Amino acid sequence: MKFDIVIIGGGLAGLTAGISLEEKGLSTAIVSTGHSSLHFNTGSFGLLGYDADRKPVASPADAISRLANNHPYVRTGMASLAPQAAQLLADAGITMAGSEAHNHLRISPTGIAAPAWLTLEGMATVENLRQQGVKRAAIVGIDGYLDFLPRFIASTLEKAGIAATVKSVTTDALRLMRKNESEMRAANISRILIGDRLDRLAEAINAAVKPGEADVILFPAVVGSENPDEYARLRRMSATPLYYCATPGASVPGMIIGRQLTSRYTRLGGMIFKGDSVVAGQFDGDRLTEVKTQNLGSDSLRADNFIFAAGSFFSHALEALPDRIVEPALGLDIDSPADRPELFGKDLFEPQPFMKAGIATDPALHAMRGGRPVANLYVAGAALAGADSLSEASGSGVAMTSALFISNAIAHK
Amino acid sequence: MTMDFQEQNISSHNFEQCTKCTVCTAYCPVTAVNALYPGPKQAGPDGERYRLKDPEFFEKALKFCLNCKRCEVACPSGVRIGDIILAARIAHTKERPSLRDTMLASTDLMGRTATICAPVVNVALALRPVKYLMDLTVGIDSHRRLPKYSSTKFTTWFRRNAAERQKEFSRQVAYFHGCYVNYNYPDLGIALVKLLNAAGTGVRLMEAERCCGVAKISNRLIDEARHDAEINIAAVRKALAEGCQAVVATGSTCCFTMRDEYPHILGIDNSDVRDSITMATAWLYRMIESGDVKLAFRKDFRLRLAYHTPCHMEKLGMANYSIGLLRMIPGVELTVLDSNCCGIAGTYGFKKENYETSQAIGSKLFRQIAEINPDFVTTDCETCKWQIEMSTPYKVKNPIEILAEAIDVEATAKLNRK
Ligand SMILES: Cc1cc2nc3c(=O)[nH]c(=O)nc-3n(C[C@H](O)[C@H](O)[C@H](O)COP(=O)(O)OP(=O)(O)OC[C@H]3O[C@@H](n4cnc5c(N)ncnc54)[C@H](O)[C@@H]3O)c2cc1C
Ligand code: SF4
Ligand code: SF4
Repeated sequence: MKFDIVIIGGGLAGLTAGISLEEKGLSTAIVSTGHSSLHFNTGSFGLLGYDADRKPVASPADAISRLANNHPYVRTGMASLAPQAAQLLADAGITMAGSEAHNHLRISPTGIAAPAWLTLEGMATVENLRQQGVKRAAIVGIDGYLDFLPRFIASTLEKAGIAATVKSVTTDALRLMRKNESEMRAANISRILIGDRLDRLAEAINAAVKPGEADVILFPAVVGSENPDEYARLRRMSATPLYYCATPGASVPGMIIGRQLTSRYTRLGGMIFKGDSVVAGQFDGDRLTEVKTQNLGSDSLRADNFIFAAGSFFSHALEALPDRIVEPALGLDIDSPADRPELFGKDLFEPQPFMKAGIATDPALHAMRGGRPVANLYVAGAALAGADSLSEASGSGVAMTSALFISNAIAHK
Repeated sequence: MTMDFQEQNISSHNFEQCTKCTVCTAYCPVTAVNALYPGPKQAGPDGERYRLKDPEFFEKALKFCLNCKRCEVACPSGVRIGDIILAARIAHTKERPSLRDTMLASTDLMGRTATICAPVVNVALALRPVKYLMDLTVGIDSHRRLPKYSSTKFTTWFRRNAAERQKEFSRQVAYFHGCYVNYNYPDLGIALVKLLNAAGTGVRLMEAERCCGVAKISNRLIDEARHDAEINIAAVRKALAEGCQAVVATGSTCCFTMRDEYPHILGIDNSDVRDSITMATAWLYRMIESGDVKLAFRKDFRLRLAYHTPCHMEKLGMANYSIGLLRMIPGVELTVLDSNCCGIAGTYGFKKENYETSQAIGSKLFRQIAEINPDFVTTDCETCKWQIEMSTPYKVKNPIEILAEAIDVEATAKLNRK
């Protein structure tokens, strides 16, 4: 099949590129092995949360210029596209609060207040609790759901001057679920909390926290993966204002964002080859002419331009062999900060050098192969070398702004 | 040395690649509606570890799996979860398949008998007392309208009306029609012959076609399934050796079973021909793209359609070909429905114990169809067609039928005459 652009990888970077290119009237397809790291996204996006010394960043817009020269933000200036990224999310029906001028503090699944750029509406942040003048919070968990850590959250709130009480609720449907061998995990719970069963949950919450007892309820984000409307409906049914707290993956807010972006992309006419993987590419001189996938066999996907947005180690786009790192599908060059033995820091909790490894690119983000740029193949997102999404809290920002940077470049070709 | 060990110690179905992320369970259509089903992660890669100790682990729960493979499409790590579950069910379920399961599984035997007596069988199957009796005695849910049997098989129609004319075409494909087209829905086969002939392509039947085996596999009649599969693959090889460009199917489950379940579940090596077994829509799309085939459409053709992606079409990765073809028709306004399981899953939804689960799974899809209110629903799977027609007021057509109706036959034939 032939398209204007074929995108390899359907995570935040691939979907952002696809949407933006479809909006420009180009025909695109996305091939994606399976679901992406959006399924582990907590509902908050980072543009730049920590600087090179691991100090929290107050204003990403200011701090970006002080990053190392080989950081993708510094090499391309793409971080200036952050407002365009926020607009793309809004157009896809995803309401997120925040700005590139000032980070806010999200509350992590372990209860830590951490800097973030955008946070999904309805999620608790230190700012929205403060703005509402919250003095007393009720943290409500679910019986048997062990991924939620109310005491940790309570201690963070106490530091912000908010008194917290901890409660737990259940319903018949949740009790039945506990009997099943399946685990009580956020994404599993959210599948059963729909329709009447969500009404029963709201009643249980309203019974546990009487009106006037607390200024706000904090509840784990376990509602809405089946139907995003349910996410807002529980908030409306709660007698006390209710905010969600992030949970470990698979994470419902990330799934909601992923679902909205995917449906925006397909409504614009984009085609997704789901559950399929690019396994090889055909190169002609400095151009990629077609890619082969597992499912399509002898047929190939041809395009004028390609975007490699397949992620990093976690998504199997990069592979660590005993002596080196490789990109197995297209054989692209790797830019690695060190040789294989020095890629690991001794302390697991310190930034790991291997996180900065990625596909080597030229300043226009063309992929390098055999030491030379491929003229019609671009690299976006976590696949890029030079950023450490984990220690910098920059993953979503890099994914979205690199995708927009490339989409603009292709449109101007 | 250690790396050698890691690289060579690969388990079946990529079991060891599981990172325990639970994404598969979040997309399993059964876990949302059946509180007794532990879900793909637990029944699949997790259960597999426990089964190393005790083969009976989760034995009772395994039968709830639809074998839809949506978990595999969702898994970021390439774990063949559905295969793990199916293989465990085959290896560890102790009960023998019941009379009902054997009946439902033997689609070609049942079809052969029923076609001969079609008028009687159809009336009888539609009668309330008969349905009630089937419900009671063999466990086929009485809410089910069993598919009607046609009084003329597709193959009979083909030999009488079409076989001779096929020799006129220099380009040939073999058609794997499947049991459903042969016994219940010859019109789809007839539409394919009309469409491909207009496109300058002869259609032939395979020398021996057995049921693809999906119903036998899911009802654990494995030796019988393997026997049929071997006959089918031999016939595919023969058709290709005799110059057919491809073996095309109009049912996504037949196509998927022959391409993937044969090697993964039945252990049959089809690697030499797998790529040539394809959906008719995929083959046609590629021919149009390469310029070998041209279609001319009727000017007066107008339809609002909603495309439903069958589970196995999603797994095959071929839905985009059907969607792409439908979008080529100038008068068609096409909405692609969110990809959700319809709930029938072959013979699964026909079993009394599964009826409610089956309808609950489909409800999301049925609701969306009603919101769109199309002239027709279109999909590449026969069992999805039954389920949607039983559960909604909408009629369902295969994309091949839509294309056959939409083309200007004369003008198309002229464009493709050599
Ligand atoms: C577990 C985890 C949690 C995270 N949480 C957050 C968070 O809460 N907030 C935040 O800001 N950032 C978070 N990040 C950082 C994250 O990396 C970025 O935010 C961003 O989502 C990366 O997007 P991407 O599209 O570049 O890559 P990915 O999300 O990794 O997507 C790549 C996609 O490509 C597919 N793929 C891989 N190889 C192939 C192939 N050969 N052919 C076809 N498809 C292929 C993969 O299956 C995957 O679907 C997290 C990262 C991880 C790993
Ligand atoms: S989606 Fe794949 S990796 Fe994740 S739990 Fe399921 S089988 Fe394991
Ligand atoms: S094959 Fe379908 S029904 Fe079975 S576990 Fe996977 S997703 Fe669930």
